[in-house]
Amino acid sequence: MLKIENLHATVGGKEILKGLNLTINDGEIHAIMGPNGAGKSTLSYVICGREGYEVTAGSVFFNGRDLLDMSPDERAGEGIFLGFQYPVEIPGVSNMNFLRTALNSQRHYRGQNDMTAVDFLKLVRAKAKELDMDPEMLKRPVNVGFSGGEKKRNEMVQMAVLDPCLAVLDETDSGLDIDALKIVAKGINRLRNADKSILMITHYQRLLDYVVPDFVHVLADGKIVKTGDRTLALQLEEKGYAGLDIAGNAA
Amino acid sequence: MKLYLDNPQIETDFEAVKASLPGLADLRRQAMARFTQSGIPGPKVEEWKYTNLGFLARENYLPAGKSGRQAEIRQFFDQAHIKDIPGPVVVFINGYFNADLSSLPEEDGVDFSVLSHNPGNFHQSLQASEGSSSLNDLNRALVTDGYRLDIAPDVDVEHAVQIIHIATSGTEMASLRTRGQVKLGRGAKAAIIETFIGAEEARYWFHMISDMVLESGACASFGQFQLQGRNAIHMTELHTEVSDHATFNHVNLQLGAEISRTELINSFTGEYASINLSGAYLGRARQSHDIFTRINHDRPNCKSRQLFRGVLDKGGKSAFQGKVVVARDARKTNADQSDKTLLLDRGAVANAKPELLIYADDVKCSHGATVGEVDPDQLFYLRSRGLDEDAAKGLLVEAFVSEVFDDLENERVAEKFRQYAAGWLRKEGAL
Amino acid sequence: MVAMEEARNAVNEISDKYKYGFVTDIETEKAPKGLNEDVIRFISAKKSEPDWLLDWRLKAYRKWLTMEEPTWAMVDYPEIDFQDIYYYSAPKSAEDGPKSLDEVDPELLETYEKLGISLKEQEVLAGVAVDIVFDSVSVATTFRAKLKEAGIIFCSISEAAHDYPELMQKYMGSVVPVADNFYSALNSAVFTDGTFVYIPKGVRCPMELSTYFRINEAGSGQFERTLIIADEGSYVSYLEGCTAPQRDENQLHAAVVELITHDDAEIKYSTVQNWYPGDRNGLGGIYNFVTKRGACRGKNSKISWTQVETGSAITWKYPSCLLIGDNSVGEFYSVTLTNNYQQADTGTKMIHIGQNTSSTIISKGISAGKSEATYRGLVRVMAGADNARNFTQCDSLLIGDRCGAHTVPYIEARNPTAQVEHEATTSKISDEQLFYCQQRGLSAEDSVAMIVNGFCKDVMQHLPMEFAVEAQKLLGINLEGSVG
Repeated sequence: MLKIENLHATVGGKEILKGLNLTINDGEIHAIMGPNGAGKSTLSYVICGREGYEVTAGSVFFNGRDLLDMSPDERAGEGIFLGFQYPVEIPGVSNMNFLRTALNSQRHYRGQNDMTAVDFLKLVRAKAKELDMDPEMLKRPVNVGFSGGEKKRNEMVQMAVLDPCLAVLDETDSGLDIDALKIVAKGINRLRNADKSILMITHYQRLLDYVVPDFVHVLADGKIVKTGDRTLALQLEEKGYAGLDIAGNAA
Repeated sequence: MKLYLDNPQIETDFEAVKASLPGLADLRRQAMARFTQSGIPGPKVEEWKYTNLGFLARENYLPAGKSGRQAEIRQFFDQAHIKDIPGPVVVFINGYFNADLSSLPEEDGVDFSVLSHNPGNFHQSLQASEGSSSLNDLNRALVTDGYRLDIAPDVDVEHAVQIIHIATSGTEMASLRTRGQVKLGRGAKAAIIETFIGAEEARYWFHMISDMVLESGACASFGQFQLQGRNAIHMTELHTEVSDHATFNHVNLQLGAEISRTELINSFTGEYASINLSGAYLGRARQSHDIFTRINHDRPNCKSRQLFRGVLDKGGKSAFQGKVVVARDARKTNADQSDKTLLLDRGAVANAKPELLIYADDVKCSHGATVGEVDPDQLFYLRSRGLDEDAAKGLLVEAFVSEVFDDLENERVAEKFRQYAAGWLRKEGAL
Repeated sequence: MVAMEEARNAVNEISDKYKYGFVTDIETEKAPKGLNEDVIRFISAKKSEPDWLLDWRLKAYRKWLTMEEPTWAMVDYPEIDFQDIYYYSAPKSAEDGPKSLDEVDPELLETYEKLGISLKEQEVLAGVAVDIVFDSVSVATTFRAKLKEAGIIFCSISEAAHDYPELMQKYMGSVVPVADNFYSALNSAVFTDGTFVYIPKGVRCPMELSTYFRINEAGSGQFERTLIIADEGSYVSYLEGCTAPQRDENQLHAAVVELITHDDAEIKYSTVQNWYPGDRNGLGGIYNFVTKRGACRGKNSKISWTQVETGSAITWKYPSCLLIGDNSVGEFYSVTLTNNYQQADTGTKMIHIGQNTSSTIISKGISAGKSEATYRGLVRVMAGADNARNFTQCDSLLIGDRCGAHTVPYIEARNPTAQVEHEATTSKISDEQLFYCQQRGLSAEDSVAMIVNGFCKDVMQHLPMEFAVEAQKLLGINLEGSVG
């Protein structure tokens, strides 16, 4: 599904990713862990095409198509969803309106017609219910005045409605209490099937108690330096990066 | 625009002072010529919307005499001088430098000179802010004395320099025109406190223009107290240029005068610099305070902050006109402005015109302005705790004003500010 | 988002950007170019006006001659030659006065259809009564009979001059005096038509009243006048939409709108202004110099202005409220969007005179391209206005680094019990917001349109439903080409 080869990327002239390789096959869940400043968020932004994150070498292919030539919305249309570490507030735009425009934009990209208003409403309500979101929240402006947990829950509802092939989750678990964490895990697990893949970027292994990954990678200094199964995460938890001879390059 | 040049006195004034500063005659003549082109701004000039200078056409102000009664002068001096600050003191009486009361700066790297002592040397500094306004030119043409303060690069001046302007009771229908110039070299640091004080009953026109330059990385703290007599006309312009990484902090207090006009004109000439202006204006019967600020964000990455608080009792009038202009390409500008005025009684008038003119997109600018009375909920809360109405009101008003002084680094100066403000509030009829 | 999609479709449909840029070809009858007393007599005679009205016009004209064009607004345009304008232009087919819709020139009706306000359709659909001003003459009025049953007068101002002279003489010029400003004086001298509404005591107008203004004739100015009187305890919501065809030269539009509310009455006045803004290079476009003012004369009365200004090369407009009656309420909700070389200087005046009066001002300005948008407002609390309250929020959004956004508020308070609050912010659309929207699949342009619509939400929600949809569309259309 996703094939990243020798990826180099700079931000503001500074090289952050320094030859990263990663392959994710259909149906796999990968977790990326790593010390602060290793390039975890940069990786997610590069996959999704954020401006200011410049790829200087290497390639990123998604289902055989070159992602790097695409705009962020085209990548979304291809089926990539980014769960933001800090979901953005958009005053005055209701969640419902936002999701519907997003969904139909993606459908247009794929050559499909708009979803009817009735079908859309049914879909959103069902997904909100599955993830215990108060339907009233759907009428509120996107993320405005939401608590940290509500924002992350909102990301999960969006993910469920947009139903991506690949979900990149950038520290979606950070700053959450245990109940919110369970909701996030629920959202991820519901997406999980043989055709979907998930890339979780996380600081802590506790999310991995709820969403068991197929692979765990350690990202340090712009490269993947170690790959293993979920026991690697447990080792990390126990010994720290230093204990595994992985040095953080940022304080 | 009406010119108000029909008053022949201005010409007479000019004749009287023209010869007094040798070496500046040409400069004065040119300034006078420019002034007579445009005259004093009339009521239709937007910048003067809230202060009508029409009376200047009817009243004749002669250049003031140099001296006054020693006892009176001493009294004003003692009142204005902050004794806790052991630094130099510069005194002007009726617009003329007074050597007896002054103790000039002697620190290395601090160069102080007096205009009347060596006018020829002031030729260049008198050209600063030339042509910025007709009143600026009028001052240039009729100026009697002034000072220049030069701080050499990297000098951190130990004590604040105090400058005291005194108007004696002999200034009835007199004009007092002075000039100041301050320059801080690269990385220099200095504090200046300028106090304006004058005879309670005399009608005089105090008029001062100051120009200030902060070179790269310099840091200036400049406080002004206006304690003129209740019939005075007080006009000041302070033009400041702030270069890269420099910081300009200005605190202003307007208490006296019948008509005051304070212009603070600021420009950034380098990046990553900051300007903080704060001030309080307190007015009661017949008084009018007009604060006019301008911040030209001509360079990227600069920051400005303005905080003004006004309190007006019966018959007091105020205007706050603050303009922030963000030039094209002045990216990452951060400009904030706040003006709040409390009206204590009927017959008080507050005007505000906080203006934002923005030509660059990557900016964060905001302004807020409010006019209102003392919060009745807060008042009730304090009274329920046992304070009588006047005490409660006084406390709230003091708190309202004190925000302005919170930023003052020098605690002695801050204390003096608070004393002045509190003194005003305690005066009969304030509450 | 439906509106945005429709906006996108609308943009795709047309080759050029201005959707309403068509010219109707009908014979018109116009007064000779230029302005003098004879032209005014011609206009007055054409409309068989009573003598008092001709006198009123002539007085206004003489006053106008002594006045100077205002220059304080932050707009810049070449000098207007007031002698190079047609002051009267009537569709010829209207000469005999259409008695019903069937008699109206079919091409005219087609024009309205293009504007999306087919009269026939409207008659059937009901809900909106439309008084259409086509250039200068009111050509058709619908629903009059139905309104008449409720005692409501809804007619052209020319008809009102004949049929309701006492109301006209009592109220016209009572809120905007003839000599109020240069353009109001000009309008008073040469106004050709407009709308008159009277809502009698205790009547709640059963439908939204609406006028669609449109400038058609090349080189013709449009000087309409609107007068709305809400008598005690009455209510009316009035909608005004404006479009004009695309032309190279600049056209002048100088309207006067007067609103009067008596005790417990309310007028809600909504405008969607989409006059031709000129092309991408700033060529052509309408000069929109409008004086709008409402007087809350009665106790507990309310006037609410909502405007969405997306058109015109130059806008100079300050819908205001005189809050005279105790407890009266004034509101101003405004969205101004400028793009390319448009210039808008707009805002409001809230004059608090009575006790316990309150006013709310919400202004949202969006500048793109090389345009300039200025909010200019005055809040004045007179000495007798005990407990007056004002809240003002002005936000500006900049799109691109070649445009300008300015805020020029005036606050003048003379009463110690008043509370006046003003807040303003200026910022750009954040990169984070843009990326977030794009990541969810929206194109850059749709993302901007969505964020801008969100930014304007507080104002848009005050528009009647059908107008809100159109206004959202307009924002999308007018933002075209501002990104990327």
